[in-house]
Formats: sequence, structure tokens, C-alpha cells
Amino acid sequence: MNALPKRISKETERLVKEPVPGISAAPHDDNLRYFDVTIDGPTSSPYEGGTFKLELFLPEDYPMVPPKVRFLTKIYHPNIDRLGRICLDVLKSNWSPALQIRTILLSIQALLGAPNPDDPLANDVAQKWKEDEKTAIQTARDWTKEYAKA
Amino acid sequence: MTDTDESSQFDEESYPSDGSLDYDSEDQDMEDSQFWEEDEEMEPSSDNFGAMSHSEAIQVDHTALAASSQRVLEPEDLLKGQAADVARVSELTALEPWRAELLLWKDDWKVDHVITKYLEQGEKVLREAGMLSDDPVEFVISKPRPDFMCFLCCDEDKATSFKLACGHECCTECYSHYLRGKIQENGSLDITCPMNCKEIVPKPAVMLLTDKKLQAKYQSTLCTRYVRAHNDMKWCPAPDCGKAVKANISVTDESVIPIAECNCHQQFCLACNIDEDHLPCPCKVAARWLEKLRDESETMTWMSVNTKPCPKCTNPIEKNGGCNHINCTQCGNHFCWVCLGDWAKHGSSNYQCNMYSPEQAEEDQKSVNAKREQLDRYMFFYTRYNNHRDSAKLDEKTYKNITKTMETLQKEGKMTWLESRFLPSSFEILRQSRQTLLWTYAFAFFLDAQPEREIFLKNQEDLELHTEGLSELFEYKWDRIPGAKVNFLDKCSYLKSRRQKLVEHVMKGMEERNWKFLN
Ligand SMILES: [Zn+2]
Ligand SMILES: [Zn+2]
Ligand SMILES: [Zn+2]
Ligand SMILES: [Zn+2]
Ligand SMILES: [Zn+2]
Ligand SMILES: [Zn+2]
Ligand SMILES: [Zn+2]
Repeated sequence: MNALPKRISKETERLVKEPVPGISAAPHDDNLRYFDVTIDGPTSSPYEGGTFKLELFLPEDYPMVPPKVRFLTKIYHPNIDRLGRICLDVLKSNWSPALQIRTILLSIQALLGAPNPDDPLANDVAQKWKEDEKTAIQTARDWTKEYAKA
Repeated sequence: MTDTDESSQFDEESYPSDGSLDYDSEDQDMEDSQFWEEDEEMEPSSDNFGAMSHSEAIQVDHTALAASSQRVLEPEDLLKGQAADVARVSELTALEPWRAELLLWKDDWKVDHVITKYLEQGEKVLREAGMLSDDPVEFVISKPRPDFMCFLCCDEDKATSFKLACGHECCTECYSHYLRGKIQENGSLDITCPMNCKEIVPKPAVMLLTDKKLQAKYQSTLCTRYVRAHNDMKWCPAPDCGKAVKANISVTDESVIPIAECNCHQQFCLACNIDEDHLPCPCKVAARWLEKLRDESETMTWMSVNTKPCPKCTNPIEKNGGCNHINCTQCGNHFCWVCLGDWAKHGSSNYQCNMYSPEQAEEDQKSVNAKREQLDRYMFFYTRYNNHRDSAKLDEKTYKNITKTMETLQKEGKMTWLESRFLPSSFEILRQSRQTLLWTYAFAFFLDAQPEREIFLKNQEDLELHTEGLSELFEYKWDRIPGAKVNFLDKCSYLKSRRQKLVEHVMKGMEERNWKFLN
């Protein structure tokens, strides 16, 4: 593998030095493009009290292409599917090389605080969310308790 | 962005590498194309593809017959067309050509609309089209400012950088790298500044920062959009053809069937998405027929012995097992296999078909019969339509033998190559006639009873008879061909006139809006 681009070292440095509240991201020692990430569930969201593990990988062409991010912790959310894949515009068509790992993780945190069942990835969850929001939110809470205990 | 399939047709060589030709090519156009000049003089506001009178614009007679004068456009023609539109907007708005081009792109190449809109609304229009500033811009690669750090690679010691009017500066490598990715994803005049602002990267900047190969891909995406934006233009659907066809008549006029023929001989309709000559069917009728074919292919199974149509919804039901109580899975109807009557009236335990009122049974049977009658009617037209499709395939085989026959005739000293040229042209007449003939069955299927219908059917019969007559001649062994030449020519000219007559009759009815079709 090529030497690590300066951009990635800079971003990593800043993530460690000035961490975002409620978010941690640390690269693997043997692969500096691969990050272990945790995001705390936002307060007054059904994910409050949970700590969610994610993996983040910076492809060869980063920052021309977006990072690849996936939830490792099971989560009940209309925009996150069973495999932990995330439906988020900035991870796809709205990616711009001006965005960073930091901004992406913040967007994901925001997504936990504001689920969007109208742009679903997990169709069954989105369906539930629309039909019976109360129960859906309760399920999200239950899952958080069961799978995302810190 | 949408498409990938139309891009491969452009080779890099056909594009200027610096984009220069695109904007100031008018002089050159004047020189190398006479009709261009005429058009500019006659009617400056019309489109850029020449008047109908240009001899090359008229294709073989059958397309003219469809009143479709057309012009085949090579990639260079498409570029010239864009350049001329850009030049015109630029001239009348006093905007730089690259700004004019962005406006045209934004508003689907509607030249007059773009001009008016800009003259009325001014700068606002520029903002909307992704030009954040109207300061004059120079597209140059330059030395970076003193404290420069490229945001994309975080390098501080780069020799060159680039920026647009928005001022977002990136090193040249990163800018090029970014554009490469976007162009490969079919981006064109929708590529924004890499720094996530709304400023569009215009063509001169792209040309400056990309290699020839990417420029060709970029131009091809632009052309695709350009063709899409014009409802009188269409890409030739033949794979790897890469040309477009433009109609010189209105394609939105429903009394016209604008069948185009590309230089590669592919025929297609400019008004609908049927990629063949569907004369004499109007687009809507042709589309209905194709839909019917799809629908009916499922219900064909009706005719088989073990199925009966559900008396309620006509869904074909297969009987399995001995029980006569049938439950239709489509509409939920419970009925009796023997009499097709409502199962509920048969009593719960031991059904008796005679409990059922004979009037009702007759009624039900009638509706089933009516459905079958409809199907029989469809089958009549379908079989004939399909027969001619199959025959057309066989004819293609015949065509392959024609060259062989011509060679043999020459070798045996019976006919020179030139003298036997009537064979391929006769074949073309045969092919056209059969193509029209098969679609006459679609037309007739939907045709409501009306006096003109009889004339149509007579024309159809005539066309069929003489198509088969010509087809038979092609079965002759090579040694009979010289003696049959006159026969060939006679049959061809007759067949041609029969086809013409049929199509003209239909077109006349369309112009007068006389045809009544079944619903
Ligand atoms: Zn850079
Ligand atoms: Zn910018
Ligand atoms: Zn073609
Ligand atoms: Zn059509
Ligand atoms: Zn039964
Ligand atoms: Zn049914
Ligand atoms: Zn019965």
C-alpha cells in the first residue's frame, strides 16, 4: 500500500486531538485507513444511553470518493439496514471531497436523532415507523438496551 | 446522472482538445457546409441542422413517404449544433460563451427561452445556473497563493493550483483527479466545485484540467444531454452506431409517423420508442398492440384442455384433482368446474349442477363465449402478424444467399455484377413491404367498423398477395434468375406502389382524423 496521504494523517490527528463529543474514532495500527468508531445515542432519542460501534474505511481514492461506513451494533432505525448499511445522502451522491470523516460521523449522529422513514433503507422498519411510530420507537429503545449497552 | 450506454460511441479524435472549436467555429462551419450557410441566411433563428431541401436529408422513399424528412447527425454535427447555439446566446446576451453554455444546459437548450429569460431576469439566472459571480474569469492554472494548503490532499508545497470564481483553490492534481471521477460518472455541466459549493465547473475549466480521453467522454455526455433536450432528435438505437437523427418536421403532430432511417440502415420512430418501422400504425396504436402482445402471451394457455377461464375475471384456471369446487386465486370467486356457476348455489355438501338456473348458466356461458370470441379474434390477427415476423427472419436468410447468387451469375458469365444489382434492391422492397404488412394486422385489429376499413383491408390483401409473389421469386435457383429479371422488376414496381397506396390511404385518414379505433 502507498504511503498514507497527508490528508488522512491530518484528519486522524485532529480526530484524536479534538474529539467530537459523543464520538470516538481510532485507526487500526496495522491499517491506518480502517477506523473503529463509536457513536453515543443522542439524548432524548430512542438511542439514548446506547453506544454504537461502527467501522469506517477510507478507500484508495478518498477523498474523491466517500468513506465506507457501517454499523456493527444491531440497531432498529429506518435508514439503517440489517447489515448495518446506512442510507445517508452525504455518503452517496452528495459526497464532496470537502467533507471529512468528522462531518460524516456528525451526520450519522444526527441521523440517529432524526430518523427519516420517507427515505428508507430498511423497508420493514420504515413501514412500522410510519404506521405505528410509538411502537417503533419503543422497539428502537428495547434494541438499544439489549444490544448497545456500553 | 443517468446514462452510460451512449458514451462509448465517441472517439477521442473527433474532439478538439482545448475546446476552442466549440465556441468560435462559425467561420469553419460556413466553409465546410453549404446548407449551413443557407440556413443561417434564410432563417437565423431556426435550428442549426440545415433546411429540408438539402438533398442528403431525404432518405430512401419510404421514410419520405412517412413525411419524415430527416437528417443524420454525426458527433461532429452535434458539437457544431451546440457551438452555434452557444454562439447565438452569447451574441445576444453579451455573455461569455461558457456562461451562455451553462444557461443553455440548465434550460434544455431552448435558445430563445434562454435569451429572453436572461434579458428579463439578468444575474439571478446566472446564480441559478451555478455562476456565483459575474466577475470576468480566466481559466488558468497558476502558482498557488503564498500560504496555500490544498484542502483535498493537505499538501502545502504544490507547484500549481486552480480555482473558479468562488475562490476555492485546490492543487491541480486534486482538481484533475476530482474531475476524472465526476466525468467517469457521466457528469458534465452539473459538476460543481470540489469544495462543496454551488459553483459549476464550466467547460473551459474541464478542458484545461483533463486529458483527451476524458474530454471525449465529457463531450459525449454533453451530446447525450443535448439530444435528449430536443424532442425532434434521437440517438440511433443500433449498438455502436453513435449517430443521431433529427426530424425536420414536427414529431409531436399526431397525424405524422416520423420513421427515421439512420445511415447504418437502422430504422426507428422519432416520436415513440419503437425501434423499427411501424407504418402504417400510428404510434399509439402500435404501442397498444405491443402491450396487447405482452398481456395475451399469458392468457394463451386458455386454449389448452385443462384450463377454463374463471367466469368472473377470466383468469385461466387449471383443474387439478377431482373436486369440481374451484376457487379462483385471482378474484376469489368460487365456482363449479362443470357448469361454471356460482359454487354457493350448489349447496354445501353434495352439489347438483341442475339446481342452478339454466338462464343464469346460459348467461355465464355467454360471457365466457364472448371472451373466447375476443381471444379468437385476437388470435386471427396475431397469427398473421407473427407469420410475417417469422417470414421476415427467413427472408434475411435469403438475403445472405443473394450475394452468392450474384457471384455465381458472374462466374458463369450469365450476368455482370452490375446487371444483377436488381436483386438486392428488390430484396429491400420485399423487406419494406413485409415490415408494413405485419403492422397492418396491428392496425386492423384496433380498427373499428367504418367504410374506409374495407378499403384498408382490400389494400392489405393486395399488399400481402404481391409480397408473397415477390418472395417466391427469391426461391428461384440462380440459373432461372436472368430470365426472371423483368418479372422481378415488374413485381417490385407494382409492390412498391401497393405499399405506397396503403400507407398514403392511412396517412390521409390520419390527417383528416377519420380513423376510428376500438377502445
Ligand atoms: Zn491537492
Ligand atoms: Zn467553490
Ligand atoms: Zn445508426
Ligand atoms: Zn412511433
Ligand atoms: Zn372440494
Ligand atoms: Zn377469478
Ligand atoms: Zn355446477
